[in-house]
Amino acid sequence: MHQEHKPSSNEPLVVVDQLTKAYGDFFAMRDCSLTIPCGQVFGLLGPNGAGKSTLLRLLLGFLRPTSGRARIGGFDCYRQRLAAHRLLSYLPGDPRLFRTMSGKQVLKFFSQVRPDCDYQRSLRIAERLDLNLSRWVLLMSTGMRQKLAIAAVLAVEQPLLVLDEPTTNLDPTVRGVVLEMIREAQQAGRTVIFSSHVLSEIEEVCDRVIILRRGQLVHDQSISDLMRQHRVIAVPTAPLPDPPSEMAATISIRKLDDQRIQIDSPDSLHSLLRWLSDCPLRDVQIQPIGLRAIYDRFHSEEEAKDV
Amino acid sequence: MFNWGLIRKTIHEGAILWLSCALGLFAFAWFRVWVVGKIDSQRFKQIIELLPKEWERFSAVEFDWLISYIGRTSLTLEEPMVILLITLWAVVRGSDVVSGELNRGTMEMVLAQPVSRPQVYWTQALITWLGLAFLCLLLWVGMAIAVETTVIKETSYPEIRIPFTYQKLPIPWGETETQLVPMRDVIQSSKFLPGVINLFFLGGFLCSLNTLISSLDRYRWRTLGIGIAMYFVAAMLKIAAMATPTLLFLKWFTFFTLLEPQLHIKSIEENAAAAWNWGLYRSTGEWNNLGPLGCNLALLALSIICLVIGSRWFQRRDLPAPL
Repeated sequence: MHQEHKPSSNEPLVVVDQLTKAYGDFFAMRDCSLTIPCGQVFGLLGPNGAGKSTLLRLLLGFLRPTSGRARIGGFDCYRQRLAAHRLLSYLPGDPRLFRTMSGKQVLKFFSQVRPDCDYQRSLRIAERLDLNLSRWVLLMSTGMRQKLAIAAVLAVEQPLLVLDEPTTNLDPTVRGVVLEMIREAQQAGRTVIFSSHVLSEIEEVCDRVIILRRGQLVHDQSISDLMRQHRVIAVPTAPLPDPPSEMAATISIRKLDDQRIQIDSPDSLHSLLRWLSDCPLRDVQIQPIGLRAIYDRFHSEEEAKDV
Repeated sequence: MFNWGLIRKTIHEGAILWLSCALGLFAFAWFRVWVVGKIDSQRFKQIIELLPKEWERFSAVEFDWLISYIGRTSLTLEEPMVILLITLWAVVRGSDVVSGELNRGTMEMVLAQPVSRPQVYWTQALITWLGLAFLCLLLWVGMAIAVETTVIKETSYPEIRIPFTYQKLPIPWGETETQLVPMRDVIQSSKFLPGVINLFFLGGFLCSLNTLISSLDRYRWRTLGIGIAMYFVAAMLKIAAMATPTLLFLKWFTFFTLLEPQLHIKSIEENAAAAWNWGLYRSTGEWNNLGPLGCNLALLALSIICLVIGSRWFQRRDLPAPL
């Protein structure tokens, strides 16, 4: 008999507390803590080896934590992994399927293994992804296998969807369809954990993103906050006046080269523009800061340190 | 406990290998028994008599018994072809349980579903055992059909009757008479069952041993390598133990000591109650070997130990990402 537990929307669906995974002296994940509320699309960002897949594999109970714990819907991800798995559907970074089966047989298998996987729904998703299901997995291209795995995973109606680089190997059209499906899942009230290297995708679908570096969580960013932030690049023709007091604490100004300066502001564009109109500037360019700037803040520093 | 989807997947993955092994075993068993029927007992006796007597120690049974039809047909169960096919099924499917799935990278997708690791492990292991049981059954069916359909030539010498007694003596220099006799008149195919059962338990042990190695490893090729190496070492120990009396103790270090299909057939043919014997003794009262019950239960116990250790290990181990 398994424990039934439907997570309520008030409590976080995923709680990670001081989670650490070490292999000898090497820390694949160190002291990671985070919570993911119900209904959020949560992005995971970081270069190769930063610990994204390790975090997901710890959440799936594939790895035993060295210390700390993770819970999904109140169930311990390692000790109660079966109960946790009933609440989620997982797409691995490199999905490998059964080579001697046809696409249809693979979808049938998943619908037999778990009763909450709707076979008809998986067929509809496969059709939407323009996938030929009569072909053997052995003869499918990497992209086709990825689509097949997506069809199997998205056919499960459970509160949590864990997607490890779901758009890898997909063409731009299908990539768009997958992102649309993620948005539909969110609209249906599901929580999505979305790991990707593609910054624009994270910006497009996520509500929140964390950046991992060398197994550590180094930044937690709300995407709506990020969208309010702007960057101004301009050439000053005279010394700049002091920014207004309400902006002074948050604004950052630095020299880019001999002529240009860069002004980053997390505040609304309205107050920034009012101040800029008083500044002696020419060749002014204003752009949203974007995830790239945040990402580079952590990973360019790291590369510089490495050099 | 069991999941229909996993059962179907396991059967699907092993189906082609099973069909190949089943066809090979069935056809070979039939053919091998049919060949026995084509060689006259008297001629076979002459061949056996040419062998040096000391070679008898390589055989679990006396040469005199081997000359009989039941002895010669039961040799089928120790033919390299039969042992190879049973071993092939056991080693290949046993090694696939954990390291095979990990090596192919499919374990991650399977275990991301709400199925437990023991479910995945025991489904695969028990279906391999079930497949083995059907292979052994087909082997026996092949032998039984051959016994039912083969006709043998029996050569008899003219006999003289000793006066005042009811006894008859053959005259070897007299003109021989050949008659055709159905093989079923001289052999009961049910007599092979103890040997087939012994072979089944050996196959089950090999399957369990390879399942255990598989649960400790992540590469299928390495699991297969280790399993096959252990098989050959065990075979060498058995040969060494039989070859030299001073190395006889080595027989306690090899699982092949527990594979004695002919000895089991012979002892149960002589005395049906021997099926329940833990040990077998020579006519001199000297210990010969473990009996049918002893051998089969020892193999079963070793199998259960391997499977339980493998299951516990798999339950706790980290699952590496696919390479």
